[in-house]
Amino acid sequence: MQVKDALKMEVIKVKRSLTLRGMLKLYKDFHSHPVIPVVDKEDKLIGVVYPENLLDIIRPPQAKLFRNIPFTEVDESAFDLEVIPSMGELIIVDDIMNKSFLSLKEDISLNDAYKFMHLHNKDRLPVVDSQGKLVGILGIFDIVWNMFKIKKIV
Amino acid sequence: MIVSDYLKEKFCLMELKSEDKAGSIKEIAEVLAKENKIQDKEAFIDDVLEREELGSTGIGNNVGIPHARTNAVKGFVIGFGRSIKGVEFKSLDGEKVNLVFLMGADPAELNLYLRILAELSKLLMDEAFRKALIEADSPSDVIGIIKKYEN
Repeated sequence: MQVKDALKMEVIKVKRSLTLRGMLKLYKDFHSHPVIPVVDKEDKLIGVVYPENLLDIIRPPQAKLFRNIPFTEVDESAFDLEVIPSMGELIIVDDIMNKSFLSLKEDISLNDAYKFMHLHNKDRLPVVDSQGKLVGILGIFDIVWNMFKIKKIV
Repeated sequence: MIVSDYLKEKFCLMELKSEDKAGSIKEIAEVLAKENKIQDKEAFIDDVLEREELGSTGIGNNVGIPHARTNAVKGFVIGFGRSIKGVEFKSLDGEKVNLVFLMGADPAELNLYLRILAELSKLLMDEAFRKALIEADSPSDVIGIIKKYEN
């Protein structure tokens, strides 16, 4: 089974010019840890925004050392930092997206995708076709679900 | 104390000659390049203008904070330019801009870059702060005013 047979195709994607406010509204009801794919006019994947990038807006710079440790006491001060409302317009997706990012090719096997995600400690990744166009997102649960499907449990 | 950690007297232009956005960005970039704060001046200007095309950083109150994450800069850089006449900036409120803060950071420097952007935009909300910058006589005044309001 290949990645393209298991991925989620209904993906919320954004353009570089979308404002922070617009992006937050778009993802308000997203129920899990999102990976926000950024595409160009041709739907080519050009960047990814992670929740950590959003936290960087409200996190003090000295927290850098602790950046990889989620929910340490340093993060609490993020609630105390004053950020003015117009930051919602001043910051756009282009300001916070990662231009180097990991993605999966749609035609690799689920097994390889699982190994890759495990190796890089990612629980979901955007999936692209041979042209680099975004075709969906694959999460660990999509892989697990399809493993059970192959074993005819579902 | 975060903006004044990076903005220095020699990065401040008290009277911008240009009356348009691109020209004012170039003038400030020129000063930063002269002080060896930018690796590639032309690439930096292009990246900032490209970012402006995606959405104006003229956030109102006669203030512009053009910025870009770019490989043309190592670490973080910030410069200031003032125009009493005003610069046409395609601001969100349609008004001209008197105070321009130009920022650049290498793509890996997201946290610091966003914090300074947040701090600076917070300071610039204060009308007394903006007025003091408009009335400042020298770059050392500008830095003094920023330090005063940061505290």
